[in-house]
Parts: sequence; C-alpha cells; structure tokens
Amino acid sequence: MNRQLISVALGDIDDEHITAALRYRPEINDQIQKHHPAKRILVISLAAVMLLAFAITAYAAGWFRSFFAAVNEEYSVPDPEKYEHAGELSNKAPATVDVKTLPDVKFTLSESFYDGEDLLLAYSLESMQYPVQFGFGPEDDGFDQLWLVGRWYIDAQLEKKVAESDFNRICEELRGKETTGFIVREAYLGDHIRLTDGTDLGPMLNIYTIDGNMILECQDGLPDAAKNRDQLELVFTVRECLHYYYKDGETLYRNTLNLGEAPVTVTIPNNK
Amino acid sequence: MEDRKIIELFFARSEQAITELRNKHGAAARRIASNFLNDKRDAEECENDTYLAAWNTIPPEKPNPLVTYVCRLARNIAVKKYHANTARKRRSFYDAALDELEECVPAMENVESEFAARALSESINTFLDTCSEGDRFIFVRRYWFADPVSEIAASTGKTSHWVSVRLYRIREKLQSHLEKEGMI
Repeated sequence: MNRQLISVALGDIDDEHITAALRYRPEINDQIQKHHPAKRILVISLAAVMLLAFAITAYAAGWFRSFFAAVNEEYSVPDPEKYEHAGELSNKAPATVDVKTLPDVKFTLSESFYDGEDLLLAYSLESMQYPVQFGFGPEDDGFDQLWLVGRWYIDAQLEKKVAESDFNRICEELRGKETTGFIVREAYLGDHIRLTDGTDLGPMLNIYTIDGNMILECQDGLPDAAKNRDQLELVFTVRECLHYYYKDGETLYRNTLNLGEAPVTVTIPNNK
Repeated sequence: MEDRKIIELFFARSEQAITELRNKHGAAARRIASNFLNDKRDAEECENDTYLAAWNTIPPEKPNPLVTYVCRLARNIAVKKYHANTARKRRSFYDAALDELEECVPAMENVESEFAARALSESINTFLDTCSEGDRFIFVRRYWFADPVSEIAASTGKTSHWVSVRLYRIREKLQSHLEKEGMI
C-alpha cells in the first residue's frame, strides 16, 4: 500500500523538475574548457617531479603511510578514529592479480583491514586504454537501444578512461558537430563483493580516493556471516562494458552494454 | 523536426505526427518503459500506448516542452502496468528505487490514500525546491525516471558509489523534511 502511495505521489512531481532533469547539464564543460593543454602538461610534469621527490624522501625516512590513515589527512571525515585505527593495524602488502578472462586488466588490492567486525579495502584497477570507436551512427548495432539523456555534455570521467588524443577529439566532435557518435570500452569493478562461500557483503561505498586507490567500505556494515573469521576470501567482480554516445543537435543519447565479467579472489587476514 | 511542427501535425490529425514523435522522443519513452517494466513486450506496449495517449490528448493539450509531456505519459502508463505486474512478481529498476524511498517514507496508515498521496507529492515538490540543481537532477532521475544508479553516475561524470552516497544523503534530508512537515 505504501509503495503504491509513494508511486502515486512521485507521479505528481512538478513538470518544471522533470524538464530540468531532462535538460540538466553538469557544469563540466566549462571546467574542461579552462584546461590549457600546455599548462596541463606543465602542471602534471611538476606534480610528477614533486611526487617522485616526495616518494624518495618518504622511502628514505620510512614515512610510507597507510591509505586509510591518509583519508584523515586529505578529507574531513566524521569518524577519523576508524581510519587511524585501521591504518595502524592494516595489511599493507599489495596483492596484484591478473584478471584471467580480461587479459588487459590488472587488479591490485593495495591495503586491507579486517578485525572480525569491520572491513576497509583500498584497491586500484589498471587496464589498457582502448581506442575510441568514432563514427557510431544510426546504421550501427546498438543504435536503437540508446536512451535520451537530455542536453549534451562532456562526460568528465572519459578523460581518465581514454587516451588524451581521443578525449580531445571527443570534445572537438561534441562541440563542433551537429551529430556525432562514438563508443568507449571500459573495465570497472562491480559494487558488490562476495565471499567464496557466496555471502554477499552488500553494496560497497567508495567515498574517498587516495593516490588513485579507491577506499571501499560496506554501506550497511559487515553482514553477520562475514564476522569473526580468521580470514576472508573476497571475490571481486571485474566487468568490461561498452559505452555508446550519440549527440543529435543539442540532445545526447547513450547506453551501456556489458561485454563480460571475471571474478578475482583475494584472501585477506584478520588484523586483530 | 521541431516540437512545434510535431504538435501542428497532431492538431492537423496527421498520422505523420506519431512517426515524428517516435523519431524525436521515442527513445525517452522507451527508456522509461524499460526502467519500470522488466519485460520487453510490456515495454513495447507501453511505448505504443504512449503514442496513442498523445494522439488522444493533443489537441486539446498543447504541451511545452513536448518531451516532458511524453515522459509523463509514458511514466503514467508504465506505473499502471508496473502495479499490475507486481502481482506477477516481475522485478524492475523501479522496484529498487521504491525500496530506497520506502525506507524514508514510513507507512502512512489511517490516512485516506488519495489525500495522503497528494499531500506527500506537494511535500516532495517543496523539498525539491530547496535542493541544489544537482541533487534535484539525481533525485528526479532516480525516483521519477527510475534510472539505474550507474546511468546517473555516467550522466553526472561521477562514480556509482558517489551517486549512491548522494542519494542516501538526499533521502535523509527528505525524511527530515517530511518529519518537519508532519507527514510522518
């Protein structure tokens, strides 16, 4: 009954909100336009030199810090003790795994903390940057499955997923052409982690990112079935998908289709 | 073709209007239908019913913008089919969206349902007026269009996790707003 009531109430949301949602375009384009390629290269090079200098100093002084502890330094978090505590006890030996059926993808569990009650994970996912397929249009497979997004925009995430030259071409085509379409291939980590016995740890939250490592924690806490074990055999799911984009005038259409997925198993100790 | 011309075709009772409507806004209707109905045939039926509903209501309606009107028609038809399908236990994206909202809108019993729905709707509209543009977009795409979180993430250039956290915060704010308004 309550679901039906909510459903009916949602149906009467004002037209202006619906229209705004159809036309909304995140103010990403402006940010991207502000990047000057030469300036960006200079900034990246400077950052790389500084990072290298820092890494050498840190290594020499034994400063290597935990990604979890670093969350407190880089973000204002509501429960800093949790990350500090996890950083002190965590397993910091990274485990890198090749994803068997996805040969171009490499998964690294950089740090883990499990004390029988709580779980924190830091991971990174490396995959080759696949070339973008330009020229996608109405005659191609997948075109009839596109859905309307609203006004066109440049997906800022693409800057990390494709080569710089491809990203620049995407920006040029979207800004300069009345109609254009392209396909992007991507590997990503599924948002559920399971144990080898099938226990689902529920949806994982990724709020913080430290040096390219995503910090994962259970959205609703660890399920009882995963508590108080000597170790956890975690099964991550790495997926590959195709993102289809098509701009027609001011309107953007898109769709995402899964290509395949592969499980990755990593065992982590109880750090208590 | 411009929306204005499509509406002119409807007013002239030209069947070309349906073709042009399908070409321009069919994808939006199809998307909503498939979000709400976990069945390809139901979704196709819903899309066709949307065009029929547009044919039957334009004129006298002269919607502006046309795409919002088409989305609303598609959603109304899809919701009716969705509730009919619930008995057949077909899960869709809309189920997931309703599950989330049900947590922050506890059962309002002893209230006449039509009145309660109208009051809840007004309260949600007031709440949306207080949200940032970005939050409004995320809320409406998730709970009105029933878009999957991954698609909203792609539209906003954020990760799915970021969108899930943002939705959680928005639901918290909504719950607090409904409490203040005496709805729950």
